[in-house]
Amino acid sequence: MIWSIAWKNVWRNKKRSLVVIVAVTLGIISGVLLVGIMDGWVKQRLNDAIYNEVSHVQIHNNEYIKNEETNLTVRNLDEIARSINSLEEISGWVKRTKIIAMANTPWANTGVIIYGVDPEKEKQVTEIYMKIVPGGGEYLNNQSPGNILISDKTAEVLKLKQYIVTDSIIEGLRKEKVPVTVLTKLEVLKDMRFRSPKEFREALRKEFSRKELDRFGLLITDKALDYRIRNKIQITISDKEGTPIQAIFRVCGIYKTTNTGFDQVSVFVNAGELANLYGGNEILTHEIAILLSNIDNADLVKEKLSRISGDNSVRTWKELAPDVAMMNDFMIMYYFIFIGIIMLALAFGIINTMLMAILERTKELGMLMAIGMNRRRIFNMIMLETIFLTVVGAVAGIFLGWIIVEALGKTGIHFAGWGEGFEAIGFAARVYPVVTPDFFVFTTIMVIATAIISSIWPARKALKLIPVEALRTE
Amino acid sequence: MKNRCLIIFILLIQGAGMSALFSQDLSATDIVRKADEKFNGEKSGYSVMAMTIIRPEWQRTIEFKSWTLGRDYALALITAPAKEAGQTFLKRGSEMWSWNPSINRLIKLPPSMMSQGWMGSDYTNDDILRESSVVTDYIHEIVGEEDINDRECYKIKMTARENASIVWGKQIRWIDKKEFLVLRAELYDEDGSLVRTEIGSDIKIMDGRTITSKIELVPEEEPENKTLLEIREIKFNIPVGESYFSQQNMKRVR
Amino acid sequence: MKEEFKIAWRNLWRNRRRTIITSASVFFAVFFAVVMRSYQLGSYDHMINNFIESFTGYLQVQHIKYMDNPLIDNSFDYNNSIVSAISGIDKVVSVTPHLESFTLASSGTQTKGVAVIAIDPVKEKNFSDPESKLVKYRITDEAIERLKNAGVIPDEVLNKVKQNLGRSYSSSARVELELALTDKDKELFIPEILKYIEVSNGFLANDDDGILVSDRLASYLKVTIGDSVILMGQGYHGTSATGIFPVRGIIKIPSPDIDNRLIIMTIPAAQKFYDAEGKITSLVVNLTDKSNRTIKTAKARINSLLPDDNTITKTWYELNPILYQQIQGDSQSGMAMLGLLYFIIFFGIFGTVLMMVSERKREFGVLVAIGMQKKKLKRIVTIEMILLGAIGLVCGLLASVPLILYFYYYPVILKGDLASTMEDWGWDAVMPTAWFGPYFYWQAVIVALMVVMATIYPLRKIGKLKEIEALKG
Repeated sequence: MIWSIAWKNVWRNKKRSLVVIVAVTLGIISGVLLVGIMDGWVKQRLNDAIYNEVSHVQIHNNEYIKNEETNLTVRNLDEIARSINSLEEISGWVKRTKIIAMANTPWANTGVIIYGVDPEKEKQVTEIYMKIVPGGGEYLNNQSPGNILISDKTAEVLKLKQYIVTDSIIEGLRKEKVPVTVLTKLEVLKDMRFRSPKEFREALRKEFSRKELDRFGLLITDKALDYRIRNKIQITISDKEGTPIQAIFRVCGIYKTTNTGFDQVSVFVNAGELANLYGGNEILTHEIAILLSNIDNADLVKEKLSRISGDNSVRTWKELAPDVAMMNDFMIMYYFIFIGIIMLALAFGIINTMLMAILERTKELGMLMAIGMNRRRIFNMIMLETIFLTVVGAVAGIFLGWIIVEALGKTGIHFAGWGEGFEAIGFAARVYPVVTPDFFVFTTIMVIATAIISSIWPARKALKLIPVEALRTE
Repeated sequence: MKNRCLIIFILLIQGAGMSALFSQDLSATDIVRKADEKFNGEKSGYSVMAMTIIRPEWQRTIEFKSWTLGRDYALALITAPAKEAGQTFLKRGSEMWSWNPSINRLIKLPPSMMSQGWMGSDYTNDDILRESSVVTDYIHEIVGEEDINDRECYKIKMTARENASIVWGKQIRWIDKKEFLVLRAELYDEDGSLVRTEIGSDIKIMDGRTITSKIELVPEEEPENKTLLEIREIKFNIPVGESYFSQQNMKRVR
Repeated sequence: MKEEFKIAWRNLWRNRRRTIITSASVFFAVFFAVVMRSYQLGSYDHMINNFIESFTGYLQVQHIKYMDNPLIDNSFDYNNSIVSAISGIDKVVSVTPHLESFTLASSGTQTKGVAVIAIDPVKEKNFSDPESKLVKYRITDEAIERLKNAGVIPDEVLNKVKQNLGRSYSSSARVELELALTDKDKELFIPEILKYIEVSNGFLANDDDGILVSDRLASYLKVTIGDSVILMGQGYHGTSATGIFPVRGIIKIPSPDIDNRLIIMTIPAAQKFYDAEGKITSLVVNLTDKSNRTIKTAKARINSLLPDDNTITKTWYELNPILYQQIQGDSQSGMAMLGLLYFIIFFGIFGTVLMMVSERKREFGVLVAIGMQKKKLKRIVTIEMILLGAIGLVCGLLASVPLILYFYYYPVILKGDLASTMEDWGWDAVMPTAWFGPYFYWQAVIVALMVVMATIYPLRKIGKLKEIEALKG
């Protein structure tokens, strides 16, 4: 019966109840959102690290880790292969050749790591095949020889990411309602080839005003972008004696992951082609990458494989990408502190409001006691009211928060301006908030706990007030 | 007519292919080969050269002697300035070694050094290694005739072959008709942008051959940078064998 | 006016409970806001400062072309008097010269591209302090053998040591952390273990012609103290730079990337090697703080001291725009959290005020009924709110002071992987609060604004008051 009285009390004073409920609701929504964003970021980084870079488990020759020499291939390959195939936890695995090389174009050169892969098999383990940029050619395939897949960043360094304004581009811009004044200025730059984004931006800055650049700069740059697909890149590697060997590859596609650091050095070719280069028909394996059906099995799989790995080292994603693992741990600590502070502030807010409410209801409470409700019941009643208020707010908050996060989770939030900074360390400029069920449960528990604790004091105060003052008509 | 006779006469002396004797016109490829062989077609060679690196704020000249045997062997000894004198470079096939007396060490040049400028110049170590051949790695076509410094030249367009291991897309060479001197070469990337220009000048007769004794290399992106190569002395077909091009000899040669 | 003030004041003390509760809400608001902000700024600043101070410095004097093209050709003359002058500038903590470039390192058959950083061994203590990163302990097969033979530690402990084979450490703290022994085992065995895995090491003398090699590079080149490494590459104006350098010490850099390829030598040695007499590539200037004002003033002063147009002063964010962006991004999220807090505390205040009005509805009704002008009542209530707000604000600020002081001098100590990474870099793994600064007063201002906003409600209520209904209670 107390329950229904408490419930009715809550709705009797709509204004007061609404204040507390709204505070709790909005507080929880924002909390959920913020946590969702941070979680989304971390999860995205983890996802990308695993599906673009390190997979769940990798195997290398022990010595290769210290010193990436071509002859330090994975030992006992057959045995390892058999063991891997026998595991039920895997969802796919590949072998890769991995050699340090120099990449040259007529304009620039840079050091790279060249991966010799089986393009079809790679699709089972990485998502790079899905990360081809628009206008960036296509992924590697087993057929066409002499192809090389490079990243947007590598293309930029090698000056294969060029910009050129042609008649058809100007025409296209006209269709997009770019004003004629802008287009005429663009004519000045027609048919000039710019070999880097910086050069093109400088040229644009010379011709256009700040305002024009702000409005159309991005569109023009997008349209004028010209990846030099099918251009040559000369690759130089060392053979076993340290003699340079050179070969020409043609760019078949440009990919881009969220980690510029990885992108900058990673280029991909067919394993067979690479083998032709260093002579011999044997395809060397320097790296084995394994994808599991469940990330939590990583340590287990590592243990199983370590038993038979011999001179090779088996490492999980945590060891291969320690910064990601650290992020995860860091986030958890962050949650606690953050939620803690919010709950504390909320608690004080609720206590205060309820205390005031008690003051206001002195007379009413006095009446209740007069008609026979005992202290304990009054205490419970106040407590229940507080709890109801908080819980209603919490439910609304969690529900709405969940909807918002789901919606944003699909569209993503775009952090323009800091994009470059984030991508340098592997975070996407567009984040998809995500909140785990765990978090909701945790928050609900925290909120209820807060509610209970914050209700105690007002309830006790209520008891102290009456009956002495209750019947006074203040 | 007179020119053509002269060419045939020279060809006879050089012992070139018989087919050229009877063709009215030389093929573009032949022209390029002739020009290429001016400096190294012979069995071996010895030269004394000075390379001046010119930059907007400074300038430096390096003098060196070099011995070559065919396309596969070369040895170079730096003779000036004093700080670098005594350094030698050895090429054997696709390997390149460097010897530095001040640290008494022999080092094999790794791939990462190949794209760097040789001794700080605009010639890359790759250029020095000369893995590629202007004759076999390109398809040649005569596209015109122009005068450079009052000398009539063939204008030859060279398009890189599909499988050739070179980064260039094409080259255009102006080769003097009379002496097959490369008076000008323009190197382009695949998109048709000019990357580098080489200019031959100061025609002299050395050891019985007419050659351009000055070659200037100008990178397009930074026209104030230049590398100037001057040939002070050149001898063709010196008596030198494969054993000359050895690591031991790197340390001994003077 | 004075009369209204008196009435307001008496009203407050008439119902002490109410007064206390209302001003308490303001008190808590300020308290939480200040403490949270102090923590945010403190820890954040701590991280950034550590980073800036170890990597780029707050400001760097460089050749004007150096940033786009970090070649040795873009170096400038080292001028003692200018350096002294810069050191004398207000707020300058240290000025450290560097000569940095790239070159090839070779030993036996191994050759690798490395980064060379030439330093002044004495001055560098104020900046990256390489001496603290010297490898002091290394777990080698040999060390494990000797440990086993000596029989001073039990097998399980030995196994733990074995698990870390190949690792090197620059401090005993790190060894302890990685071995992860129980506290008891730690006490008993760590000193013994340390004895066996200790390695001798050396540093650079002032005019040394030797080098320090980073740990992973040293194992790649297969060198140790006493061996020699050949460096060769391009020097100033294209001269060939070649030299043999004896290894004086091995240092461990926490970042594996850098640990793979770092060589440290003295500036005179590098100048000789690169044929760049008297030249340096940068002067790293550290300041007392990184506030905009400090940085801009210092930058202007330094620029005025520079002899010609060839050198320029760059700020840390110009040198590392990516880091700057990251910090901005992070800072924004911190602001968002603060915003959320503000939101909650506002409702705390508002809720209390709402209740207060509710409770005094009758009182207001009576006052108006007996003839008090609404305007006057509003003024009185406004004064009450201001007083309440003021009391809460002042108390809140005062209460936060001891907390801030305590956690400034005895900050929370971090644990876990994050902490050990920070330790590796020579940073304190702590989360301190920030010292008092503008943020302190800003929080007070913001909360004051909240009080003002909350006051609007009672004023409107009074405005709409219908005496009869109010009297009904």
